[in-house]
Amino acid sequence: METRDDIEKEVDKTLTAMKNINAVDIPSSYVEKTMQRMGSVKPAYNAGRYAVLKVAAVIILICINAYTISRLVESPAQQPEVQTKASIDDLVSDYQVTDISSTDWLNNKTNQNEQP
Amino acid sequence: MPEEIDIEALKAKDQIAFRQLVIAYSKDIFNLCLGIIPNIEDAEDISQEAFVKAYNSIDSFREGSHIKTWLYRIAINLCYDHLKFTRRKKRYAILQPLFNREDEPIEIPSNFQHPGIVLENKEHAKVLYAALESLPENQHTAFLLYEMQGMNYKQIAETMTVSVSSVEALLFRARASLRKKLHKYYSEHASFKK
Repeated sequence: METRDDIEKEVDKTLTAMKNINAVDIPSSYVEKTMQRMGSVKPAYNAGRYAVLKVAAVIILICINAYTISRLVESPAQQPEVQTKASIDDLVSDYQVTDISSTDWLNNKTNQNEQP
Repeated sequence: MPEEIDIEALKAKDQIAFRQLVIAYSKDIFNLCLGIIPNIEDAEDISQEAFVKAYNSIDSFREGSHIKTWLYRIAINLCYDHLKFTRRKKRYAILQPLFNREDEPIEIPSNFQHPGIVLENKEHAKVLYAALESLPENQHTAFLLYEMQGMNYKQIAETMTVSVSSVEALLFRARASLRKKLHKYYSEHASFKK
């Protein structure tokens, strides 16, 4: 069994263990590897510039979306009305109908089809 | 050699100046990292990372300061970040900050690999490294810089940006804490006698 003195000796030896550590030489490729790692780092100003560009792109997209949404909100009923009107006008001009209530144009079409 | 380092050239990100810086301080920084993290691959990686960080943040270096002290500070911070990261990976690591780390038992690291330690001294060094890991960071750093790097109180104070009297207090507390831990460890591990 260890005595208190033995333990004290071990503690003292352990506390001075660091003084006996030799300096270790760096690996042969250390400097080159470090320089390569430095070279692979992008310059800081580029990172900053890219960040500004990203933010600007996001702001532009948000503005475009906001403008589009505001235009849609401003006149939601006008757009379909114009389309409907245009399509009825087109129909009238296509079938050469002046009076919608008349059905003569239908008979004319049928007669034209019956002729050989 | 350190006087040859051209700070203006470093601030201009001159590759030749940075190569000179790496050549001048690589051994010191590598051995410092090896002192905190006794694993040759990790120490190499972290010491290189310290130079890369110095390259990126050279603009924050204040003229009149010592470049070596500044590099030491970067390397020490990176080493402790690494130690925190490896501790977090351990089981129940999330609960560890709730308890006083100084009361933790000494746990010998499995990946201990320090080529500067002579064989006859290896067992003692292993135990000391394990005991040091459980000390608070500032005590650990002060002890390493004094005992291993051979710095005086003033140099340690500059590196750690504290007063000389704080360094004295840190070293006193570190030694007292280590002695207590080691005493407990050797009392429990009766097989140390050769």
